[in-house]
Amino acid sequence: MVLNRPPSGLHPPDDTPAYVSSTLRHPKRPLILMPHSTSELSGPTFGRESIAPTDHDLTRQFSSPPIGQRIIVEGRVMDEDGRPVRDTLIEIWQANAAGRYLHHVDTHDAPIDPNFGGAGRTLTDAEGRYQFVTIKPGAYPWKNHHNAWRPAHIHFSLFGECLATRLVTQMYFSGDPLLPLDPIFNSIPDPRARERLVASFDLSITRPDFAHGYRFDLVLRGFQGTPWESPCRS
Amino acid sequence: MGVAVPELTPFQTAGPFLSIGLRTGIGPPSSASGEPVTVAGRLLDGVGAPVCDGVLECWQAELGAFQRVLTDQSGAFQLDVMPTPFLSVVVLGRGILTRHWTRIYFEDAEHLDSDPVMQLVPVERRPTLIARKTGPRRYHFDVVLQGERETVFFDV
Repeated sequence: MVLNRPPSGLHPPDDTPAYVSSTLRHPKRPLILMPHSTSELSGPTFGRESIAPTDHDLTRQFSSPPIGQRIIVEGRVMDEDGRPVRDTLIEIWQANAAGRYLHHVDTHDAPIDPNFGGAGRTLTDAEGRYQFVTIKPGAYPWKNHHNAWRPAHIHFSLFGECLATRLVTQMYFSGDPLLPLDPIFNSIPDPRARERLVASFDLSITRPDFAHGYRFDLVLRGFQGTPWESPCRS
Repeated sequence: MGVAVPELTPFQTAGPFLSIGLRTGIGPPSSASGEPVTVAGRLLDGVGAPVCDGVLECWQAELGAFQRVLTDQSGAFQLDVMPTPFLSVVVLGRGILTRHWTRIYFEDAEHLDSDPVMQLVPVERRPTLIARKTGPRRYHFDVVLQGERETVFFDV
């Protein structure tokens, strides 16, 4: 079983000078190519019992609904061969509608919403599908450079079939004027790969009189020459 | 129109607020019986400053055990694990655009130098992968992201 290696230009380089925080936090010595063994080709699984009924709905985790435009974020998690990645944990976190995180480090002068925690989690179903209900996060300033603003985004964390398929990324919103200015978004060398992180408005996900819908599919690493079997969970 | 070939989703940093979404205490815990060992240390950047907004994820394939810990204000972390020859460790955080992947081996483990992955590492860099024994069932291991004492990271 051989796990595909990602093409160059896909993932951001560890050293991305435009993203200042990376300067002292990237290794300077060459990485050592790791042959994949059981340790990399296995990984944790998380059961449905670890997910509470409102974990996927960030608008129903407090006594009142949060302020903001309600949205549905829906998609499929699959591997490079298009096979669904089922029963895998997805964790998300985001700022509130005003662009403020519920976190002691966030000192942005925007209101905290007492009805919004900003964290969600779910497991994909048998077809690799997932759905979150949340509010559209606000953009917020950061100190990377003069007049720097992060585009609105939702952080995503996924495990996939094994530890080596682990992915942490961010979902953006189409039409955001901050995207071309953002050093984190632009850290992805391939412009086409960047665009995969931009969720598009989807009328078929939009629920009448309730919420806008956005589609965000995620593709994790796949395996060479094993199109119909999952090698990770032996 | 043909069916589009799925293309990989790129990484983005977990950022400084990862503790909102990356909850600790998620399983699966080890099912092995026995006494755990503690690996304590710090996550440090290229000038030796503590990385106080990072997360370490530790996987032990032999036990099917997963552990996620956050670093504190001094960059300190602590893993409590059942003994295995090594731990697979993924580091995430602000300033880390993808993830840094390393291993923690134990100083008093047998056949350290014949470990197939250790053999890929230049001899002079191997000590950065070895947790030093500091007491009964207690080890020290710093993850150094850059610089003189830079930990060996792997392309996985």
